[in-house]
Amino acid sequence: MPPFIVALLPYISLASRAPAALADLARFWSGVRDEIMKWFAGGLITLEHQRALMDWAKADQAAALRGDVPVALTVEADPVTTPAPPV
Amino acid sequence: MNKKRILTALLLSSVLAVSLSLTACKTPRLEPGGVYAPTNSVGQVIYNDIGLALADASWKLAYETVLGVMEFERENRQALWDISPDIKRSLDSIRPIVVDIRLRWNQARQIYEANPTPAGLTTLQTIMSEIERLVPVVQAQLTPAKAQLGINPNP
Repeated sequence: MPPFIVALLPYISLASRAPAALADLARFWSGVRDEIMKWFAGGLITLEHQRALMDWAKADQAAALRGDVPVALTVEADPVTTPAPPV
Repeated sequence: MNKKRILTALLLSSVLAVSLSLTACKTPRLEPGGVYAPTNSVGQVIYNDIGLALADASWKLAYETVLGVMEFERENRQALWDISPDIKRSLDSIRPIVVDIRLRWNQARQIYEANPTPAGLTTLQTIMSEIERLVPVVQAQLTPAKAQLGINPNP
Protein backbone atom coordinates (compact mmCIF):
# COMPACT_ATOMS: atom_id res chain seq x y z
CA MET A 1 0.00 0.00 0.00
CA PRO A 2 1.48 3.38 -0.88
CA PRO A 3 2.83 5.16 2.23
CA PHE A 4 0.63 8.21 1.72
CA ILE A 5 -2.47 5.99 1.89
CA VAL A 6 -1.22 4.49 5.15
CA ALA A 7 -0.64 7.98 6.50
CA LEU A 8 -4.15 8.97 5.50
CA LEU A 9 -5.88 5.90 7.01
CA PRO A 10 -6.64 7.45 10.42
CA TYR A 11 -8.20 10.46 8.70
CA ILE A 12 -10.23 8.25 6.37
CA SER A 13 -11.70 6.31 9.33
CA LEU A 14 -12.43 9.60 11.08
CA ALA A 15 -14.12 10.95 7.97
CA SER A 16 -16.35 7.84 7.79
CA ARG A 17 -17.58 8.61 11.32
CA ALA A 18 -17.95 12.30 10.51
CA PRO A 19 -21.62 12.26 9.43
CA ALA A 20 -22.69 10.74 12.78
CA ALA A 21 -20.37 13.09 14.65
CA LEU A 22 -21.65 16.07 12.69
CA ALA A 23 -25.25 15.04 13.44
CA ASP A 24 -24.41 14.84 17.15
CA LEU A 25 -22.74 18.23 16.96
CA ALA A 26 -25.75 19.73 15.18
CA ARG A 27 -28.07 18.31 17.84
CA PHE A 28 -25.86 19.68 20.59
CA TRP A 29 -25.75 23.18 19.13
CA SER A 30 -29.46 23.23 18.35
CA GLY A 31 -30.03 22.35 22.00
CA VAL A 32 -27.75 25.20 23.04
CA ARG A 33 -29.56 27.51 20.63
CA ASP A 34 -32.95 26.48 22.10
CA GLU A 35 -31.75 27.21 25.62
CA ILE A 36 -30.41 30.62 24.54
CA MET A 37 -33.73 31.40 22.80
CA LYS A 38 -35.58 30.47 25.99
CA TRP A 39 -33.47 32.98 27.88
CA PHE A 40 -34.10 35.71 25.34
CA ALA A 41 -37.78 34.83 25.15
CA GLY A 42 -37.90 35.88 28.79
CA GLY A 43 -41.44 35.70 30.10
CA LEU A 44 -43.03 34.46 26.86
CA ILE A 45 -45.70 31.81 27.47
CA THR A 46 -45.34 29.69 24.36
CA LEU A 47 -48.10 28.05 22.33
CA GLU A 48 -47.19 24.63 23.69
CA HIS A 49 -47.21 25.84 27.28
CA GLN A 50 -50.56 27.56 26.77
CA ARG A 51 -52.06 24.38 25.28
CA ALA A 52 -50.71 22.16 28.08
CA LEU A 53 -51.96 24.55 30.76
CA MET A 54 -55.41 24.88 29.21
CA ASP A 55 -55.72 21.10 28.75
CA TRP A 56 -54.84 20.55 32.40
CA ALA A 57 -57.24 23.27 33.57
CA LYS A 58 -60.10 21.91 31.45
CA ALA A 59 -59.54 18.34 32.65
CA ASP A 60 -59.46 19.41 36.30
CA GLN A 61 -62.53 21.61 35.78
CA ALA A 62 -64.52 18.77 34.21
CA ALA A 63 -63.53 16.35 36.97
CA ALA A 64 -64.32 18.81 39.77
CA LEU A 65 -67.72 19.77 38.33
CA ARG A 66 -68.57 16.06 37.91
CA GLY A 67 -67.83 15.54 41.59
CA ASP A 68 -64.69 13.49 41.10
CA VAL A 69 -62.37 13.93 44.05
CA PRO A 70 -58.75 12.67 43.97
CA VAL A 71 -58.38 9.78 46.39
CA ALA A 72 -55.58 11.67 48.17
CA LEU A 73 -58.14 14.30 49.16
CA THR A 74 -60.59 11.83 50.69
CA VAL A 75 -60.61 11.23 54.42
CA GLU A 76 -59.84 7.57 55.01
CA ALA A 77 -59.77 5.41 58.12
CA ASP A 78 -56.78 5.59 60.43
CA PRO A 79 -54.19 2.83 60.05
CA VAL A 80 -54.56 -0.13 62.36
CA THR A 81 -51.77 -0.23 64.86
CA THR A 82 -50.87 -3.72 65.96
CA PRO A 83 -49.90 -3.65 69.62
CA ALA A 84 -46.48 -5.02 70.49
CA PRO A 85 -46.57 -8.62 71.79
CA PRO A 86 -46.14 -9.04 75.54
CA VAL A 87 -42.60 -9.72 76.68
CA MET B 1 -1.54 42.35 34.96
CA ASN B 2 -3.53 40.69 37.72
CA LYS B 3 -5.51 43.87 38.29
CA LYS B 4 -6.31 44.04 34.57
CA ARG B 5 -7.62 40.45 34.55
CA ILE B 6 -9.78 41.06 37.60
CA LEU B 7 -11.21 44.24 36.07
CA THR B 8 -11.86 42.46 32.76
CA ALA B 9 -13.62 39.60 34.53
CA LEU B 10 -15.73 42.05 36.55
CA LEU B 11 -16.65 44.02 33.45
CA LEU B 12 -17.63 40.89 31.48
CA SER B 13 -19.72 39.48 34.34
CA SER B 14 -21.55 42.78 34.82
CA VAL B 15 -22.27 42.97 31.07
CA LEU B 16 -23.61 39.41 31.22
CA ALA B 17 -25.76 40.17 34.28
CA VAL B 18 -27.23 43.30 32.68
CA SER B 19 -27.96 41.58 29.36
CA LEU B 20 -29.59 38.62 31.10
CA SER B 21 -31.73 40.84 33.31
CA LEU B 22 -32.87 42.83 30.29
CA THR B 23 -33.80 39.71 28.33
CA ALA B 24 -34.63 36.86 30.69
CA CYS B 25 -36.48 38.66 33.48
CA LYS B 26 -39.37 40.03 31.43
CA THR B 27 -43.04 40.48 32.29
CA PRO B 28 -44.98 37.35 31.34
CA ARG B 29 -46.72 37.66 27.98
CA LEU B 30 -48.63 35.31 25.73
CA GLU B 31 -47.36 34.11 22.38
CA PRO B 32 -50.07 35.16 19.88
CA GLY B 33 -52.04 32.29 18.41
CA GLY B 34 -52.19 30.29 21.62
CA VAL B 35 -55.36 29.19 23.36
CA TYR B 36 -55.22 32.18 25.72
CA ALA B 37 -54.49 34.63 22.86
CA PRO B 38 -56.19 33.24 19.75
CA THR B 39 -55.76 34.91 16.37
CA ASN B 40 -58.14 35.26 13.42
CA SER B 41 -57.49 34.14 9.85
CA VAL B 42 -55.28 37.16 9.15
CA GLY B 43 -53.21 36.71 12.31
CA GLN B 44 -54.76 39.46 14.43
CA VAL B 45 -55.14 38.64 18.11
CA ILE B 46 -58.86 38.31 18.92
CA TYR B 47 -58.34 38.59 22.67
CA ASN B 48 -55.42 38.26 25.06
CA ASP B 49 -56.36 36.69 28.38
CA ILE B 50 -53.06 36.90 30.25
CA GLY B 51 -55.05 37.21 33.49
CA LEU B 52 -56.62 33.76 33.07
CA ALA B 53 -53.32 32.25 31.92
CA LEU B 54 -51.49 33.50 35.00
CA ALA B 55 -54.39 32.49 37.26
CA ASP B 56 -54.41 28.97 35.79
CA ALA B 57 -50.63 28.67 36.14
CA SER B 58 -50.67 29.89 39.76
CA TRP B 59 -53.62 27.66 40.64
CA LYS B 60 -51.95 24.61 39.09
CA LEU B 61 -48.76 25.22 41.05
CA ALA B 62 -50.47 25.74 44.41
CA TYR B 63 -53.03 22.95 43.99
CA GLU B 64 -50.47 20.39 42.83
CA THR B 65 -48.19 21.30 45.74
CA VAL B 66 -50.99 20.69 48.24
CA LEU B 67 -52.09 17.53 46.43
CA GLY B 68 -48.50 16.31 46.42
CA VAL B 69 -48.28 16.55 50.20
CA MET B 70 -51.61 14.73 50.57
CA GLU B 71 -50.48 11.98 48.19
CA PHE B 72 -47.18 11.64 50.03
CA GLU B 73 -48.99 11.21 53.34
CA ARG B 74 -51.36 8.64 51.83
CA GLU B 75 -48.56 6.63 50.22
CA ASN B 76 -46.50 6.61 53.42
CA ARG B 77 -49.40 6.55 55.84
CA GLN B 78 -48.28 3.75 58.14
CA ALA B 79 -44.74 5.10 58.50
CA LEU B 80 -45.96 8.65 59.16
CA TRP B 81 -48.60 7.34 61.58
CA ASP B 82 -45.85 5.61 63.57
CA ILE B 83 -43.96 8.90 63.73
CA SER B 84 -47.00 10.92 64.77
CA PRO B 85 -50.75 10.24 64.36
CA ASP B 86 -51.28 14.00 64.30
CA ILE B 87 -49.83 14.22 60.77
CA LYS B 88 -52.76 12.31 59.26
CA ARG B 89 -55.28 13.93 61.60
CA SER B 90 -54.09 17.44 60.71
CA LEU B 91 -54.14 16.74 56.98
CA ASP B 92 -57.57 15.07 57.31
CA SER B 93 -58.93 18.33 58.69
CA ILE B 94 -57.53 20.16 55.64
CA ARG B 95 -58.68 17.68 52.97
CA PRO B 96 -62.36 18.76 52.87
CA ILE B 97 -61.24 22.40 52.74
CA VAL B 98 -59.10 21.71 49.64
CA VAL B 99 -62.01 19.84 48.01
CA ASP B 100 -64.30 22.81 48.66
CA ILE B 101 -61.76 25.36 47.34
CA ARG B 102 -61.18 23.25 44.22
CA LEU B 103 -64.91 23.05 43.49
CA ARG B 104 -65.44 26.80 43.99
CA TRP B 105 -62.36 27.58 41.85
CA ASN B 106 -63.64 25.47 38.95
CA GLN B 107 -67.17 26.87 39.23
CA ALA B 108 -65.79 30.42 39.16
CA ARG B 109 -63.52 29.52 36.25
CA GLN B 110 -66.45 28.15 34.28
CA ILE B 111 -68.40 31.36 34.90
CA TYR B 112 -65.39 33.48 33.89
CA GLU B 113 -64.83 31.52 30.67
CA ALA B 114 -68.49 32.02 29.70
CA ASN B 115 -68.36 35.72 30.52
CA PRO B 116 -64.88 37.17 31.12
CA THR B 117 -65.10 40.21 33.38
CA PRO B 118 -62.64 41.92 35.75
CA ALA B 119 -64.94 41.00 38.65
CA GLY B 120 -64.83 37.34 37.58
CA LEU B 121 -61.05 37.44 37.46
CA THR B 122 -60.96 39.01 40.92
CA THR B 123 -63.14 36.15 42.22
CA LEU B 124 -60.68 33.64 40.75
CA GLN B 125 -57.75 35.44 42.36
CA THR B 126 -59.53 35.53 45.73
CA ILE B 127 -60.19 31.78 45.64
CA MET B 128 -56.61 31.15 44.51
CA SER B 129 -55.27 33.08 47.50
CA GLU B 130 -57.12 30.62 49.76
CA ILE B 131 -55.23 27.64 48.41
CA GLU B 132 -51.95 29.55 48.31
CA ARG B 133 -52.35 30.15 52.07
CA LEU B 134 -52.74 26.39 52.57
CA VAL B 135 -49.43 25.53 50.88
CA PRO B 136 -47.16 26.36 53.88
CA VAL B 137 -49.78 24.95 56.27
CA VAL B 138 -49.82 21.47 54.66
CA GLN B 139 -46.04 21.47 54.25
CA ALA B 140 -45.67 22.27 57.96
CA GLN B 141 -47.67 19.14 58.87
CA LEU B 142 -44.72 17.06 57.66
CA THR B 143 -42.31 18.81 60.05
CA PRO B 144 -42.55 16.09 62.77
CA ALA B 145 -41.67 13.50 60.10
CA LYS B 146 -38.71 15.53 58.90
CA ALA B 147 -37.47 15.96 62.48
CA GLN B 148 -37.74 12.23 63.07
CA LEU B 149 -35.78 11.52 59.90
CA GLY B 150 -33.14 14.09 60.82
CA ILE B 151 -34.09 16.48 58.02
CA ASN B 152 -33.89 20.13 59.05
CA PRO B 153 -37.30 21.62 58.15
CA ASN B 154 -35.78 25.14 58.23
CA PRO B 155 -32.47 24.92 56.33
